[in-house]
Amino acid sequence: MYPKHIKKVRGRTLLLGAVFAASLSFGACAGDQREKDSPEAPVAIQLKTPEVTGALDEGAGGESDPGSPLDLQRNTGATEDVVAAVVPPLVVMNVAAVVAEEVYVAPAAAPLGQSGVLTELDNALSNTRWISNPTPWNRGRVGRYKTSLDREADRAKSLAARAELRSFEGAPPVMPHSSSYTAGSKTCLDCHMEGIQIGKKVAHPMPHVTMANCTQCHVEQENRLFDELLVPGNNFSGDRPERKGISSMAGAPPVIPHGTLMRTACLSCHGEFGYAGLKTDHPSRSNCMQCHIVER
Amino acid sequence: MKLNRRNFVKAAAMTAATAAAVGEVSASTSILSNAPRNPVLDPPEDGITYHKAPCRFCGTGCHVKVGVREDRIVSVTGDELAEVNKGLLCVKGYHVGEILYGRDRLTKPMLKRDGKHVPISWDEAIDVIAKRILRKPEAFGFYGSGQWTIPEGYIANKFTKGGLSNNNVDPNARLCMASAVTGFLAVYGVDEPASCYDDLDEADVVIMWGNNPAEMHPVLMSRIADRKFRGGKVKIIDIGTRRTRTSDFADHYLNFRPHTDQAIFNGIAHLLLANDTYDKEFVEKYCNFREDEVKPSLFGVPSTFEAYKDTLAKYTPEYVEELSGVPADDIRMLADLFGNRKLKIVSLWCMGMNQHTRGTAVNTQAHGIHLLSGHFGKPGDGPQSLTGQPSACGTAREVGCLAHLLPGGRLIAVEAHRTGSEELWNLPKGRINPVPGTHTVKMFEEFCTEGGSVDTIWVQVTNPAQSLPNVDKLFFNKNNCTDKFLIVSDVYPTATTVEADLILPAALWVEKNGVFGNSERRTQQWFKMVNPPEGARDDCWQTLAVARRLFELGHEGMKDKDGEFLFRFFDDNGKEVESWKWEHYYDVNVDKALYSEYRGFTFMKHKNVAPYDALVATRGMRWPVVEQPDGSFRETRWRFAGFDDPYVAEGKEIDFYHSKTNDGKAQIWAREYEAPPEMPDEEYSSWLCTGRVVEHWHSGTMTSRVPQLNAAMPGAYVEMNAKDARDKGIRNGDSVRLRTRRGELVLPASIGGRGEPPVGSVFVPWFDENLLINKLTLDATCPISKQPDYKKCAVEVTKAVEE
Repeated sequence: MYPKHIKKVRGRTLLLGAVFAASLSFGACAGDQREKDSPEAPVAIQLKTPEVTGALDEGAGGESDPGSPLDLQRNTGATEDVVAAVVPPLVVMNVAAVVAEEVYVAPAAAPLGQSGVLTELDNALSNTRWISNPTPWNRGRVGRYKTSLDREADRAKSLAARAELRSFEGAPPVMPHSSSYTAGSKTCLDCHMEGIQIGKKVAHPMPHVTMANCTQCHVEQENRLFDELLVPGNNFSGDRPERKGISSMAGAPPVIPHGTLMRTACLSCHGEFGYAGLKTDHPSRSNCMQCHIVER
Repeated sequence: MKLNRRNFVKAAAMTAATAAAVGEVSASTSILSNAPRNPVLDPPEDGITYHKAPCRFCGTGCHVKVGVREDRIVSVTGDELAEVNKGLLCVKGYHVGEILYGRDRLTKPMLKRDGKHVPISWDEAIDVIAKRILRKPEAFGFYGSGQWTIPEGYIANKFTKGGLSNNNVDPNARLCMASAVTGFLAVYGVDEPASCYDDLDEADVVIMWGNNPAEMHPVLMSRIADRKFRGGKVKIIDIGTRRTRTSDFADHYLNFRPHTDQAIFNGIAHLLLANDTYDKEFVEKYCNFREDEVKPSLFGVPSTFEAYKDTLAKYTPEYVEELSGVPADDIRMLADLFGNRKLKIVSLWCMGMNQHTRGTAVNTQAHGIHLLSGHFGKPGDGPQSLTGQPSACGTAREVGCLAHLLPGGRLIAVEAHRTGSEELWNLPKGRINPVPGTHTVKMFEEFCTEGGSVDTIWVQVTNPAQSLPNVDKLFFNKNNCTDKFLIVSDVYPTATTVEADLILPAALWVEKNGVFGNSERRTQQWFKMVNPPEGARDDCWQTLAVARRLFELGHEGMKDKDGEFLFRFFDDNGKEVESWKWEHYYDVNVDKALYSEYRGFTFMKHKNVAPYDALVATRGMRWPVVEQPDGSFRETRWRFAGFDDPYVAEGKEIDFYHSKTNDGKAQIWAREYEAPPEMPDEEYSSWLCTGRVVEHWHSGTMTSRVPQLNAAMPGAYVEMNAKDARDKGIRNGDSVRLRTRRGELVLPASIGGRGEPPVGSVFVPWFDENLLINKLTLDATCPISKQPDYKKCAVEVTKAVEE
């Protein structure tokens, strides 16, 4: 198989695909606490529709993934040739490859715009990297996650880490890294569409529907041109509410202790690539708001 | 009923509804009743109160909801009820609350004595200013800003033009959109865009002319880009002199040689005529032709279609390619788009066309191709000039804070406009000086000249030491002159306050009441939400207090024709309030009184702004706002269009009712391409362009004190093309020396960064007060608008060898 420290699963938006891919992924991902034969597994097998199988047969490449934002083929009807020319596959392990008895498929090319200096090719291709019809991030995964040994401590730690990236509760998080958003590239979605974990570094998937201009709201916190940062003095102290979801009575599902503006994909924080201590123990239930209501 | 917050909101909503039913809007209740409860940020038990306000930064005019707890801002969120931004903000907007809390806020008036700033009392400061003005009122200049609120600009304008009989009032907006103003005047006979942001949701093609909204107007850029991102059909064309983040969103990026946008417009017009694809009916019904007589002028002389055609004859696609570097086929592509009546086309521009030594001409050309092709006056179809400051339109333009204007689009040079203003202000006839004052560049030229006609300047809400072009000549030269006195009202130490003789600490944004006007004619109001730091006071009060002090010292101009003080405010019982005393300033809403007085000026040119209370109840309204038979007020989205603008003559589809030719027609101008005054040569072999970045707003006074924004963009840099850098042996981060005929500066190089200038040109952002790029820029101006060109001059680029 492939190195254990890379945990990356291409997600799917079609319900069939989502359930299927997610269930398969637990075999693929460092499945420490998960069992390959989770109770949902038989369901997944039933979902092996011709469509999905077809995708598997295609083998590698982003184009086999119906949920990928880079998949022009399914969403726009572009021909396969066009897709291949326009969208280089990402450097990720493909679920389908794993299923097909651990066939490793090498990435065809590095993503555009990551080579630092622009090439003419980058310029020529940049406008063709438009993503049409991205699907809102709203998908469920099945399976069970590791339960924190000390959930409260993990939760406190996670909330503190989360707060560090926000000027106040509700502010869009800053980028804790520099932006590789150079002329001719659009690379945020490569990690933040689905989420990715490399070592201990986690890129959370977006909690909101996909929008075109990431740097409108999210500001990078590193500038590679400058070594020394003079921190300006500022006495601003943002709102940091102490909140926790409580249940109205014993056994009732806890209410959502925060609002849902720009936070509609619960699994962003509470799912696989979420925060320790905040992850749900039942991600297979895809309709969160069926049981959890916004505290109002 | 226990009146907790939720019940209170309900009760307030009911009150407001009742009030609305009888045609009134209650100021005290409508804020809360209109504030949507944001589920993220509005939990009942957090003790946070939310108020609406337009953002402090750019001309987009997003509405933010400001969360206040215990007299401090604790959170900020986009306002979902705001049509402009629909709940979203940009990186600056989300952190706008932090600009109030930089640790080095100015809190004491400080007078320069023996080269040092020493604290003095407010009374003393006001007295110093009044006596300085009294000594030579005609040598006083008020240098304001497109960040002035409408009441701040209005009181400064009335104080100087109506009180001191001195027309030396000009705003920094002269550096920002003066050419847009002259463009609108020359074409439509009246200032400001006919279109609005709704067009961005409708257009099939959006063309950015030398414009980078992805960084400068991010919310508007996203409005277009998100449409496309979700699979909508919109073609984005970026026509620029350097690749930017905007180019990344574009279907086509067309790189042109600086200044040749003039040739591109003519090339498109040439093809529209040659291919016979121009809109004959539209031109016939709604357009006249115009040209300069000999020298460039604002209104020129009448011309003909044939003369226009003759002027365009030589602008073949091949000739335009030769001038501009844009391939002839791309010029044809643009002409085909404009020639297609089925498409809806929006042109956007901002500083690229305004900061241009032929700024007025190129603005008229932009309007011209839209008129010629009939892409005008329909939703999604029309030219849209953007502004950079939150109230460049509202204050600088509409209130007439320019040296040749009076409020509401009146001209100082026109006698009827002066007497009309004197009547509205209840002044004796002849009080207003008939000679226009000094425009920005002239004002500072005089100020920096020994014995010049301006010896005292009061700067409010702007930072000329950083923002004027060629600052050594136009600003720092004052230090070589005797008897000059610079007064600066600001919130933080800036490059300008360092040089000031008197510094006045000011209140900022929601520390005071205010009204702004954005790029789409939308007037927006907010209330004071938190107190300014002890010692800082409203700019509007500062002007009022000086006026009162002059009145007490016997200055005749501070009296109206009945001998009363010019600025009087009354409480609900009709009793006069001593608003010039700080402790009484908030006894009545001075803002509302001044705004309501100003509103009387807005009807003549059909720029009717909404009543104050209507603004309180809404997220701004676009003028002309006209009262309906039922007593409600209706805004206008598309001016001059019969289906929407109530001032269009009955039965007409389009009516330019302020036409210079008095026939309801707009003017299409014949303008030749003219080379810029300074171009690269052997010694200074590159182009230098300056501009902004998304993280910082203008001179960075506010945004550089926000840790998140500062971390992203701590300093200025010089952006270079990779080939140029390779040829000169420059690597990313290396120190590069830039030298122009005016000055030199060393900056780190940025190669392959967020923008990419073509070979032979460099770009430097101007927000960094430690690296004043305006020591290098050119102070040549458009001959008509007097706006300088920051976008091009010749520069020598060399690797700075470490010593």
